[in-house]
Formats: sequence, C-alpha cells, structure tokens
Amino acid sequence: MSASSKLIERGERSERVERILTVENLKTYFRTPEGLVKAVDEVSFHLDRGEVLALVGESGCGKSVTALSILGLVKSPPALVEGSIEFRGTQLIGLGPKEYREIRGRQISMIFQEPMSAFDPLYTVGYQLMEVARAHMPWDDAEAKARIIDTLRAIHIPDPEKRYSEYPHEMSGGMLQRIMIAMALITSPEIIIADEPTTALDVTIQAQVLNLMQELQRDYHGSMIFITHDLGTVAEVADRVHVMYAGKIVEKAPVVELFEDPLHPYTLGLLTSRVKREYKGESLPFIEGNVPRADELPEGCRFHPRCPRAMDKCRTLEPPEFSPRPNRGVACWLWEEGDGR
Amino acid sequence: MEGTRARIIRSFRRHRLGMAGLAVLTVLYLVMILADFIAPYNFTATHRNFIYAPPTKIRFFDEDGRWRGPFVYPLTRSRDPVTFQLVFTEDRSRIVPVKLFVPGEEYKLMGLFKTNLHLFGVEESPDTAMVLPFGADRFGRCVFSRVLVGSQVSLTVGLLGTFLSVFIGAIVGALSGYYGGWVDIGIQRFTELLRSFPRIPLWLALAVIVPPSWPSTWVYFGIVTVLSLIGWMGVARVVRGMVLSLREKEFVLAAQVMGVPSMKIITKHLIPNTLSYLIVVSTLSIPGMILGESTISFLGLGIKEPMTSWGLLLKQAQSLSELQSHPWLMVPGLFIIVAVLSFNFVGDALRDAVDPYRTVEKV
Repeated sequence: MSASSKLIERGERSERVERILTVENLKTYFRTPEGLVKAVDEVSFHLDRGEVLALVGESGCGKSVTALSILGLVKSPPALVEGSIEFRGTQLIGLGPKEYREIRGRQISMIFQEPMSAFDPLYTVGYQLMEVARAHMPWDDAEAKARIIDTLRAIHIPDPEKRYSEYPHEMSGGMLQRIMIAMALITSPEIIIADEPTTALDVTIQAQVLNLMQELQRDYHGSMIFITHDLGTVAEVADRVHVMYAGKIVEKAPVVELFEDPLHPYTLGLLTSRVKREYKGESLPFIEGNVPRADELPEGCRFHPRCPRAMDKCRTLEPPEFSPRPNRGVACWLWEEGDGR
Repeated sequence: MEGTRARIIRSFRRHRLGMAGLAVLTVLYLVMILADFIAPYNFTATHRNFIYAPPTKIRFFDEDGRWRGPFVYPLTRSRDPVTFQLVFTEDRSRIVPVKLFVPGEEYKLMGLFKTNLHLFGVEESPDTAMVLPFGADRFGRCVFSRVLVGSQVSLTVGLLGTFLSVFIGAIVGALSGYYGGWVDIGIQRFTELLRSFPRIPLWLALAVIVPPSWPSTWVYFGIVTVLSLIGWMGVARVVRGMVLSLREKEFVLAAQVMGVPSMKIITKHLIPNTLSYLIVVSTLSIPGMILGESTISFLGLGIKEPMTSWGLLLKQAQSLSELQSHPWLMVPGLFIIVAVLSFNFVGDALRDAVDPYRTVEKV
C-alpha cells in the first residue's frame, strides 16, 4: 500500500475492499457423553483485506473454537463442523488434509496465547522458525535464515542472529510472543488469527506487543482476527468488533460505535463492569450469574437468565440478528422494531 | 539445555550405587570386547585331560615357602577306586609359571586380526598343565574363557533387544496417543491382549519358530527379535500417556497450524520430548532382556552350541548332582546377577537424575 492510498478515507476505501473470508452459519458441535455441546452455533461474519476484526467474549464462549474451525483443526468427525467457511473463493469445510496444509500456516496463520508453551523446548527458536519456512516457502536454507533474521529485526528483536540460535527457555515471555508473531509473519499470510496474544503477558509488555501488531498490520496490510476477552485491547487494535456469548455472536459493530453505543444488554453489561475511576471505593458493577455451560444452554435467548431486561419472548424464542443501524447487528428481541433503549 | 545436562551428571555422580554399577558395567563391556584376548583358551577347545577340572589354584610360594611369582602345578588325573569319580592331584615336583602375553591357541581378535597371543596363560601343552580360573566343564573346556565369550551374547542381547523394543514401543505409543480415537482403542486393546499372555510360554513359543537349521548368528538376531517383540508394550503404554498430555501443549497445535505434517510432528516434537523417559526405561529394561535371553537359552531354545551365552552355560548346572560335584559351573550365574544388578543400579540412578516423574514402569 502506498502512502497516498493510506490517506483515503475509510468510507471510500470500503468500496474497493476485497472480501477475504466469509463465514456463514458455522456450527461446531462436540459429541460428549453428556450430550451434544454446541461450542459454536450458527456464527456468521466476514473479514475484508487489511481489516482487524475482534472477537470478544468471556472464556468458553466459543472464540477459540471458531478460530480452530477456520483452520480446520477441529476434527470432524468426531466433532461436527457445518456451515460455510469461504476463504478467497475456496470452501474450507470438507477440504482435504493436503489442501488444508497448503492454506494453514501459509495463508492463514495463528498466534497463540501462551508463548512459553507454544515453542518446543527441545529446539532453538531459529530451528522452529526454519521448520515453518521449509514447510511452505521455496527458499533454500541460507535464504530462509536470512529472511527469518530480517523478520526478527522487523519486530524489533535486539541481536536477532544471537536470538536465532537460542532455546525458548532462554527468553522472556514477551520476547517469545514477538518471535511467535515473527513465525506467523514468515510466510506473509493473508490472515493472522491472534488468540489472546497478550493475555499471558505483563501490562507493559502487552502494550509493546499490541503496538507491534498494529505496526505490522499497517505495514504488511494483512487481515487479522483478534480474539480477546479484554475490551481495552479491542479499543487499541480493532476496526470492527463481534461480541460472542455462549457460542453465538450477539453484537456486531465498528469499534468506536460499540463503545459509544452498545446495543445488546450483554455488551452494555461488559462495558459497565470495566474498572473506572468513578467506581473508586465502591464494589464494581458486574453481570449476575455465570456463562451457561455449553451442554446446558437455556432455551430462547441464551443470555436471558442473566439479562436485566428479559421479556417473556426471550425465554422461549431465539432472537435473530436485527440491524437497527447501518453497519450494526444485534441479536436481541429489544431491537425487533425500532429502538430498544 | 546445557544446565540441565550438568545437573543430571552431577546428580548421577552423587548416586553411589549407580556409579558403582557404571564402573562394573564398563569393566564388563571392556572385557567383552577383548574377550578372546583375555581368555587363556579358545572357548570351544576341548581338553580331555582336564574334564571337570576344578578351578586352578594360582600359587606364589613353593613347597619351601619361597617366592616364585604366580605359578600353577600340573595336574594328574586319576579315578577314585570306590566312587569312580575323577580326582585331580597336583604334581608338586615342578612348577609351571603363569605369564603375561603368552602364545596359545589361535583366534581372531575382534574378528579382524589373526593372532595367538593371550593376556595370560602357561607356556605348556594343555595336556599336562592349564590355568583354569573357573575350572573346566565336561568337555574340559575352560569355563572362564566361555564366560567371557558368552558375555558377547548376553551383554549385547540386552542392548539390541532394548533398542528395538523401545523403538517399536515409542512409535506405536506415539501413534496411539497422537491420533486417539479408534486408532488408540485398537492399539491399546491389542497391547493388552499381548500383555495378558504369560510371558515365558510366549517366549518359548516364539523361540520355537526360530528354525534349528539357522546359523548361530541368525539365531542370535532371532532371539533379539523375539525378546523385543514382547518387550515393547510397556514402553508403548507410557509413551502413549505422555503423548496424550504433550499433544495438548500449544507447540503441537502451533506446529499443526503452521502446516507441519503429522508424521513430522510425531518424530520431531512428540517422541523427542519423551526422550528422558525412554533413556531411563531402556536402562531399566536391559536386565529384563538379559534375564530373558538366559531363560530361553537355559531352557534350550535360545542360543545353541557352538555359540555360547551365560544362560546356555548355566544349562550345564541344571541337575543337583552336577552342582554338588562341580559347583564352579554356577559361575556364569554370578555374572548374570552382577550384570543385572549393575544395570538396575545405573537405571535407578539415571531415573533419579533425569526424571521428575518418579513412577517409571519397569518393562
């Protein structure tokens, strides 16, 4: 992307965006002795080139399973993965393992939550980066090594030649997380899925890593699915936000609008339970109750047992996605007609 | 990694029994390599004047109490007129000095160089005087020489068999743990079936398959295969368990995400991560293999003459009357005990040094 095109307003750019990933009615169910666990249930979203989409939700709401489903790492059978995942015109559901390996790592890569356990302790990080390069890129070893060291330098790793031949245990968590980002970048993928990439890090390191990811996202102009439970990081990095609850997307919004004007009661609850200065000395507000277990979901709207504004309808009927404003989506009966305020 | 290695070595060194075992094993294996040179006689050479000769007394002082260096007396054989047993009496009229590096029966050192030099012996025809540290058997063969040469089978069968069985076990276990589901269930039920066979009859059954017409080296490898085909199940189970937990680690998921093929994940990431266990379990299962070979050979289904092994040597000591009149035929048993104990000590020391998991299953 040239400097001039960066200056183009978001609205104008959206006219010539390329839709890179379209997920429609994705269902990922697991068969367990206790019954069918609906980890992801009829989730639909899309991702444009150069865009950062945040999937937000509490633990167990299906964010990570959505990511693994896109990567074809949920084995079906025994699990049940249905719906449609279209990546640049290729249907990923039902794709053969060989074809999938071409995409996985090469065109869609992933950054993990725990940098410490995401590297094999037995090999140097250089070796592990090399393994990825060898699997996908046509480079010989010398060129691969040069490119790896360039990538390490690009993510501000000091002394990359030395780091290249170090073992994971010789590095700090923040350093490893940056090397994992390098690993995801080595093949210049179209999409990077970042699964809570900052959760395991100190707050200061978190900020560094987030800045780095933003910077890279700008420079490489790739798309990113950013999975997190931390609304603070969402505000930092995302263009659009999808809020997930119990396996469903309950709200879709551009990032600024989500914070200024949350539509779903759950989103509102999340936003009000953030730590703020006004709450000093008081106990923090919170959402009553717990996320339902995926094998005992309530009937109707899945949020209704915890919803302060639940109506009779909510207890029996699942809300479809309503679109009360442009570019917005909310799965809540309050917005069935007109304003749900 | 360097730090870990240093810690392992330090902790191993503190284990006294382990160090003692290691020293004993080093000596045993050195002797094994140089067996033909150290042995004073060819292990198959028969000496009809020394049938069932007891261990030779090596003396230093003659009748008059004078220092003469190490020497032996020639033996004369006679039959006890009452019991008809062979009786050996020392002919004290002359001494036969025991010397280092004496020429004797011809052999090939390590199968390469033809020579007749032996580490020690007497410069005298084996018709009149012999030096037999552990006596002779019913063909007048030197038991000491036979024990040394027998160690070439007994001590390597354990290494080879263990290597093979750990190899099979690691791969089967890793496949079972990594793929899970039906593959896992299939493999696990199959191993359980194999494990529930009584071990000795199964050995014997498999050993019978080895055709008697095979040359002795083939028989040797046949025995190794038989031993390892039965020994891999324990390793497979534990490796499966370790892989079950390892495959949930993020680096395996990361490798999958990066598009590394499954076989490469198994061989490069999963099995190497169980290596500390594999090393320990190998050391601990070598004694089992040695005992297994001894058992098969003792029962007459393993190593066959003219090759020899400790188990086969013990076969001569099967009857009680034999033991009573020629107790030195039990010496190979001592060697088995010492070797097995040493391996166990080394294994225990290694386990304590290497592994934070203290529950290592012996195979």
